[in-house]
Amino acid sequence: MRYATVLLSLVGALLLALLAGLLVGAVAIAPGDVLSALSGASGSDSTIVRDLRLPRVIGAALVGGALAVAGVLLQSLLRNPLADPYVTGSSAGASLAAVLVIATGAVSPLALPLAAFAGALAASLLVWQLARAGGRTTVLSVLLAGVVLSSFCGALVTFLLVWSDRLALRLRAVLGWLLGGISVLDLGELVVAGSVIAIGVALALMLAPRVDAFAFGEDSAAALGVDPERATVAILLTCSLLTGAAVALSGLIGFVGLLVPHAARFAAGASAARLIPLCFLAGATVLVLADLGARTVVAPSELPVGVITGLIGGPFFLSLLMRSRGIARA
Amino acid sequence: MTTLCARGISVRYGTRDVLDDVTLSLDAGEAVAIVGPNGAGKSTLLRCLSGVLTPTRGGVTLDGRALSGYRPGAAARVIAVVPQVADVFFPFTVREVVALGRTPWLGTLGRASPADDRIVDDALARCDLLPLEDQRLDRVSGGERQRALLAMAVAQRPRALLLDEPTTHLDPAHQRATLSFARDSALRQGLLVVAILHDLNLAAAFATRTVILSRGRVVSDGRMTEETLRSVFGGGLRVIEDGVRRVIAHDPL
Repeated sequence: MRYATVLLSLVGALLLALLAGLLVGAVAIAPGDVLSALSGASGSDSTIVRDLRLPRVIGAALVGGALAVAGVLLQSLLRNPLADPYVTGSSAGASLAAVLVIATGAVSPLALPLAAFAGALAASLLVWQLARAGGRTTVLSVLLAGVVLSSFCGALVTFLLVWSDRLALRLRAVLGWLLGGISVLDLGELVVAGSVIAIGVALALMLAPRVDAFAFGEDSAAALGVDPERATVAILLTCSLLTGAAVALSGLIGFVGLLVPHAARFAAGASAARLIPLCFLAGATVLVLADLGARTVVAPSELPVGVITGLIGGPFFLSLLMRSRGIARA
Repeated sequence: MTTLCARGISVRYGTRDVLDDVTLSLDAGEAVAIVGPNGAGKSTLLRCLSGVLTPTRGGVTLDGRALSGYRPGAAARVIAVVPQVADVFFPFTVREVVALGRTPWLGTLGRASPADDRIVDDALARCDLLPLEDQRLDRVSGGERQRALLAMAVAQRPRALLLDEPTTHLDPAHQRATLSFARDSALRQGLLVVAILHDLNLAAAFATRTVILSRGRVVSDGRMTEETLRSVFGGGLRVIEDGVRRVIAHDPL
């Protein structure tokens, strides 16, 4: 299939997924009423569609797209098909920083995404340093460093939840968010996250040739005129922007950043410039659909969407790990 | 004229000198083979010459200017490195790999121009890769993969070409093809070509000049003699000449 065809079909798929996300929910609303709600009609159904469902599907799309693009960057940089923001611990770092901010009671709409960005950046720099401490990065050292960091951050988050009165009061909400629940409170949050993610995707596209230059490792990147240290920091910074914005909106959602780039490579090869747009669209579609599932599988209750992605992504990750044992030894 | 000079370079890992006071001046038009026992520091020397590694002591100059003073992109427009045949983790096509050679020439936005595409076409053609351009690199043969890495360096349009063991895992025909391409680049197109080689016979056929490294030092520079070969690699080697060929033969074991 030609690249343009793939791209166009994904745009179509995303639009259909967004539409499905608007049409389906705990309260049955006729498709005609959904359309009139979008065109500005008033009434309780319209409020549900405009103020609850619309921000939520857009939020899911942004988060899914951001995580998938961050996944492509991390995988190519580390030459590791098993890397993504969740596995490498940067999501956990972002969530720890975000919980800290909630615990201190900061109210600015920028505080949460900023903290999440800083947390993601600190975590990814740390994992990168740990993973290459032995001289060169191996698939397993990255995963191990990520696992350890994730558990450590998770333990600190649990400690904060128990210890902080402010968090304990909102335990259910914070816990739901941590498990990967897309909860968009207001439009401002969406605008902030959307702008940050747009910047992140633009940076990712600019960095694409440098990302590809890592195809044969750091030395080869250097011989192609790419400063490996500076490029790595730029790439990790971009990943952290995307991961921070995603975590601020939706907590810990695993495996989207792992699954989507893997599938996209089957359709479009390995070049980052081609993969990034594809992954954004596919990641957005996947998460909108997963969120739709989360809202409907046990209706009228809701599952955190992280549960859905974990249920699908976990076995997938294990099968990838089994097939890449040869790589792990390298 | 491109001149690449190592001036008294040493590289120390921990307490061990991997390179110990190496001085070499390499000129355009030369086909230089670097040979030596395992662990002699050949790869480290090549990494210093390409600017990827900064020596602990001494320095490398390119056309009289310190290599460490070049921006990474500027050095990569002059010096290209053909990496050892590497594992590929992701499904890059042959053409995408060759196009990586244009990286140092791209602008900040990183978009390839039609001129870049023509240079990639030309590199593919020169390495007989046009019929394979859309194949995945991990699905072509070892010889074809080596040619793709060579073409990547060609697309870089360098004035110096450094090759790290370009003939390992290749059959004799592909070894000859790769090295004759490299030798032509030096003798016909005036590039400086430096290749690390393990096979002494291939080195003798390829090189206009052979540098023998042992324990981080240059022990011979120019033409391999039986005496130096025996002292570096131990006894049992003999140089046989017939006026056209120089063959390094093993005594019966």
